[in-house]
Amino acid sequence: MQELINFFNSSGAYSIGWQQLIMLSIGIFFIYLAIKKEMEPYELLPIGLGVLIANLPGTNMLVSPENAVSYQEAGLFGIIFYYGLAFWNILPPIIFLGIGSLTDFTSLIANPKTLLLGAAAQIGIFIAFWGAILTGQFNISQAASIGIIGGADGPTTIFLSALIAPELLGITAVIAYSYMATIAFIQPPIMKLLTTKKERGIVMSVPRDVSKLEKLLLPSVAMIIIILIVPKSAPLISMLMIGNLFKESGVVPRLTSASSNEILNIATIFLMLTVGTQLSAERVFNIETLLILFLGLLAFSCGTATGLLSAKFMNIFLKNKINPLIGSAGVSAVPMAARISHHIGQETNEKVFLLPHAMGPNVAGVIGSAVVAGVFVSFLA
Amino acid sequence: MNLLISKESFVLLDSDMINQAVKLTFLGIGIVFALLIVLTLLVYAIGVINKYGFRNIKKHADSKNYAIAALAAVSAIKQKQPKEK
Repeated sequence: MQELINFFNSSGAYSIGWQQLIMLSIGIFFIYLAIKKEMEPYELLPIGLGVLIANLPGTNMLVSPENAVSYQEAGLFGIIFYYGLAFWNILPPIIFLGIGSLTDFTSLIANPKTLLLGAAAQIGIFIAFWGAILTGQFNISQAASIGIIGGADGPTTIFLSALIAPELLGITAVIAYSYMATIAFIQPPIMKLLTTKKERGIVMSVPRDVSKLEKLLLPSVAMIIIILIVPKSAPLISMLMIGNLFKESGVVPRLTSASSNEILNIATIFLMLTVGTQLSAERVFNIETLLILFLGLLAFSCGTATGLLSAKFMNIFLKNKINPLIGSAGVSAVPMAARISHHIGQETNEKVFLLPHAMGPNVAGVIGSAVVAGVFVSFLA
Repeated sequence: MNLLISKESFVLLDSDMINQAVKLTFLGIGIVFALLIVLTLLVYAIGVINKYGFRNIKKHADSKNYAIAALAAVSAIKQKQPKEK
């Protein structure tokens, strides 16, 4: 009988607390959102499963090799977190390789001024960065890690957090992905508030055709220039451009397919599960998490607003006006943000077809947020 | 300049931190804008190179076509000539 009592005392069911139970419900809620509502399923499903694993007591799956006192003590997700993110940080760049091989720079090349909208939308990062600093709850590295949520780019958020504020990695990544999943609710009210019906109804002409030479030159030269100026952004920028060059060269279809399918999928599985496992109850149940939730929302909203306002500002000088709705797509979140610009445009005027135009600032946003991450790493890592 | 130190968990918000944050903000925004402006100009330049390159390739292709057509015409005339003789 005593053995039975000892066994029960050592089981997870005995030591589980109310915080863990709430986290398990949150994990199940993420899984529900992914499966039933199809909200960012590739991210929210593995993150939800990771949350479940992280909050089941007694598994030791999160023990890092750094903290393991004997062989075989480190847990699977502790090992993946340590080598995949904290120590080597290889998973986000691998994801960027896949993103690069799926990215099309055509609209950016056809309308280069949209690159500036991608830059403008990054101002949201700095507004949230200042918000975090002024709360007095975070140090400068943590504030940068929170601010980057405004880049609306999951891998960039993870890359930066893992390097400068690993203790916030799980929460910043989940908040970034959660807001990306709900961007369809966050952006439209701001878009409608900051633009007039007339502006939303601006019809843009069809983008010009882009040659293969242009598609090859852009990633090659852009990669060299960006890395020369911000070398710390190289892990993300180089992999993005390498993936894109695989695709645009047209001579390595197997590499393109591997990057955009198998490699991307494998990296996504391990990255998202590991991010989920960082959401343990003791990390989530504190005032900082609530603050990060608020600051993340502030970052997204400000990024959307600065993108829109910059497009309106550009229109003062442009002969052929651009629809300011494409400015909000500057907050990465590829391709959801571009789709939202398109839908809001179509709501106003059926002739407005913004998807190809909004992809320009959308892709520029990916580059912009990776550059900001590089700048933060240069000064804070 | 200690603004918020009411709780143990609060970070000391001193002038050094504020200075570093100001520096980081200006540098960050400045570098992103400068870099994306350079990239914008670069994309315009690539467009111009592409346009010029295409024109040259087209010119070259046109002259090649003319040469082939001329050769074809000459050989056709040559083929005709012995029969007429």
